[in-house]
Amino acid sequence: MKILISLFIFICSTHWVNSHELIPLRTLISLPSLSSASLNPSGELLLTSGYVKGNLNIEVTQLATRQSIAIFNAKDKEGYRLRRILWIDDKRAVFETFRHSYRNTVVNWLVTFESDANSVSHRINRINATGYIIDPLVDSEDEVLFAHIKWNGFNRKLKIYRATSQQLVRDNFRRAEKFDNLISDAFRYRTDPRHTIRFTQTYDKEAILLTQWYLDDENEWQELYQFDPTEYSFNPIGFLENGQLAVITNIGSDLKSLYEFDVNTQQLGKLIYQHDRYDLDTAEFDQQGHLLLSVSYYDAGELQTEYFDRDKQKLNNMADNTFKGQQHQIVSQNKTGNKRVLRVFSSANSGDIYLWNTDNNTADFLASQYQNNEAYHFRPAETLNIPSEAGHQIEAFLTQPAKAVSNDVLLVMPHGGPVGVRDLSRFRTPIQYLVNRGYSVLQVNYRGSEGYGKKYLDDGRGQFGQNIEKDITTAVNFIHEQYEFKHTCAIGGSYGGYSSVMLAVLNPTVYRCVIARFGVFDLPLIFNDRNIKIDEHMIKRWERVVGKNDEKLLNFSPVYFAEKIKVPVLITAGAVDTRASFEHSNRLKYVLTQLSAPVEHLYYRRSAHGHLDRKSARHELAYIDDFIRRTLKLSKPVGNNVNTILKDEMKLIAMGFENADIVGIDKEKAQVYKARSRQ
Amino acid sequence: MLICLHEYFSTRLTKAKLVFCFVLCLFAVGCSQTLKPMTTQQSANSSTSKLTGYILFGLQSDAHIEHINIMGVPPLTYSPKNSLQHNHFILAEIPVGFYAFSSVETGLGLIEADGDHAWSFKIDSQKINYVGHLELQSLFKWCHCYRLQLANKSSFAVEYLQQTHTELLQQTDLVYKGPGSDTFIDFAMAQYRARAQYQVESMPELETALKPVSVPKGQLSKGDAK
Repeated sequence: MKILISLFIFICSTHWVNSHELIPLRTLISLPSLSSASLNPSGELLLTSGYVKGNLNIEVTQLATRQSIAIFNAKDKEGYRLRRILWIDDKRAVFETFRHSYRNTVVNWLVTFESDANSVSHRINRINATGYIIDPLVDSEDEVLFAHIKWNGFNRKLKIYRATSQQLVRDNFRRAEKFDNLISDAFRYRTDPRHTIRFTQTYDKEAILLTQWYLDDENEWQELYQFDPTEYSFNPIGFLENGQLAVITNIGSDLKSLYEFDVNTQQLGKLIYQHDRYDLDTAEFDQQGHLLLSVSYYDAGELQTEYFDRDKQKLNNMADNTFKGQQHQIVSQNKTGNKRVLRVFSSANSGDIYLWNTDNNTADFLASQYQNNEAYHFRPAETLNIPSEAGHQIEAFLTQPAKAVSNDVLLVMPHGGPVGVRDLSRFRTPIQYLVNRGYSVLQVNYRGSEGYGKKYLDDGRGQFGQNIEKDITTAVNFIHEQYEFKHTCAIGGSYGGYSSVMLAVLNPTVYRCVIARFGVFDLPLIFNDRNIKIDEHMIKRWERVVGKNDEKLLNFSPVYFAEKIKVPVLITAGAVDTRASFEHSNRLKYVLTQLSAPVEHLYYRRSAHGHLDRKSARHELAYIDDFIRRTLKLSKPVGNNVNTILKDEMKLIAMGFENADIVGIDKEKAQVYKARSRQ
Repeated sequence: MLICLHEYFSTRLTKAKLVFCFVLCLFAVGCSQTLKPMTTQQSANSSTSKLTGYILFGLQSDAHIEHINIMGVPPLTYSPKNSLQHNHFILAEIPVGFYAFSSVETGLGLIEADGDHAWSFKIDSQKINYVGHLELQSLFKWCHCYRLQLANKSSFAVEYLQQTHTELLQQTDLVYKGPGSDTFIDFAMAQYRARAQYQVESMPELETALKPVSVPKGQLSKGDAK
């Protein structure tokens, strides 16, 4: 019997090894084949967009006939990216394209459809008016609320019109209805559920004060609430039947919760909804403000929407049961709500789009958002709740490969921020790449992370190299008690890059290597890396994250104690990064080089605080895997296509050293990797 | 020139001297001095007097630059040879005193250093004064909008000097005079000098690890020109 069981296990593991495919980076790092899907108000037409080999395609499908026609195509080299797409009525849609590679050009386009029972045709016009649609006013045919912006150098002039699509196309608003009641310097005008302009905000950058305004029934702007946005959150949802304003805020509670707010007294009223542990993300009321329809939040890193209407609850349960173990959200629906576009996703699923007809309860699979991913298996993240010595629970996510392909290396990956950012249980390309290559990846929502209340967030302020790293270490110790790993390395971007270095400094016996991406390593430099940062208000803002700008920060700046970094370090950075200035990375590289410490660096010429092109992103990941393998002397990853993949990745790395626009020309390194690709 | 004026005044202030100095200043302000970057050979044989110091600044631009204008006595102008500049450093000997980046001429127009931020710096005598990295980036196609900022890229400046002007760096102090205050150059130079010392003492085993150098406490190099 024992022999049979062993044989079964052996066959199973052999099968895993044999069936395990290494995912090519070109496949994994690609643009979505289906980036958006949007129904028109009647639910007859479906507008979809996506990228095929980097080419942007926008199509419309007549659902009755399933006839599709292309309405916009742009070649990859032209650099078009879709930013926004929305229907303004049954026959018209507007979409916005953005071209980073062409000096950030933004263009809005109008598509007008003609359809009968059997066919659909279209006409496309470039919108000459610059600005954005505040509200598509889907109930009014061919009318939108448009924020018209004219630039004069850095000064902008804003006007708001209730305009037709042709007025937008011609940039001629002489006959449009002008909304005169504007507040100077206000931005982000918003409508209420009745599509009336109701909210706006102003920001005093010197005082760091955000003021929310609302338009009362007498058409006068009233101050709604003034607060420090780096400390508090105050998000108006809409006016309720009783005249109170519904807001999601944390001014009266630790957790962001849904409250009634009296605009006259500026006092919080009744608590409408509060979660036990998590901050609320959104809330939705019906058009009259009578009924709370839903609230959403992230529970264990997964998006949860709670419905209060019985019918919607029923439908949500149905979706829960259909897509067990996955998260889902409605990304578009027709006016009556019986046709919905549903996005289903998880930590192991990069997104599937379904067309859900609630009349006959059918959910037609439209497509995967990343069709190239369909052929591969991805690994789900396990959510962990880890008790800390300080008494709080630390939420963490562990993504592991199948045992048969594991290389027994734990990669600890702290997130960026550190304050007000968080990790979620969602598909993340770099994590899936690393897990596919055999690594286990641990993400930790340490103190300072968003979503667990104001105190938890505030507890991370000024804790660079201190309580934040204590939380991560608690999680790493917990993992080491539960699982066995031969090696542990730290890898992270932005604050995560800093944290990775500090983890290795604080725990020299635990970490065997560090990958510090786009990080900050000299904390006082955060306050003076360019002349705009030395302004008083900027210093105040940063002090709320980093802590007081004084000499003590040197004690937590690895540049000044680099000799304590005892393991090989790979530093990657973007040459045009102004958020975590490129200078930070070069300082760390400089001092480690002076100390003759093992350090490698990759400076991406066109990258900012992250990559703006796919080639650089692929190059960095391939190099990171190679760096870890060389450092830890690991064998090749497990997979039946390993030789092909490694050959491709060595070529990819070599190409990066031959291209001035990736990491710059380094002929020696290029030769080394070319030679390795031939092995 | 300021020192010259200071010395002149400190002897005995007369109306005639005052007029003379005023005329001198006007003359100096009117005639801008063209910055000529020093070559490695020039810097190796260079020595400053009490009245001059070295200015070092970096330049990075994705736009064509015709001139960079620096206010001061005398006003300075730098005209790059190449139209686009990527991490290019300019080292030149100039009179001591206070200066400020004032504008960049691109050919399409003048981009002024906005009054909201710090552009000024002081040149100390007989020192290499790293005053920052001037970055010009075009923002949008549809407007003549550029982002002009003065960045702190001290480590690149140190590397540049170590690679290109080694002899000058060995003989001359490098100080940070860019935006804000920064200890890095002091730290890096202490490390650099310790390494140089070690090389002299223990050649040829250069690969042996160096002992770390601590940050000189309480010696934040003040960016005193704001």
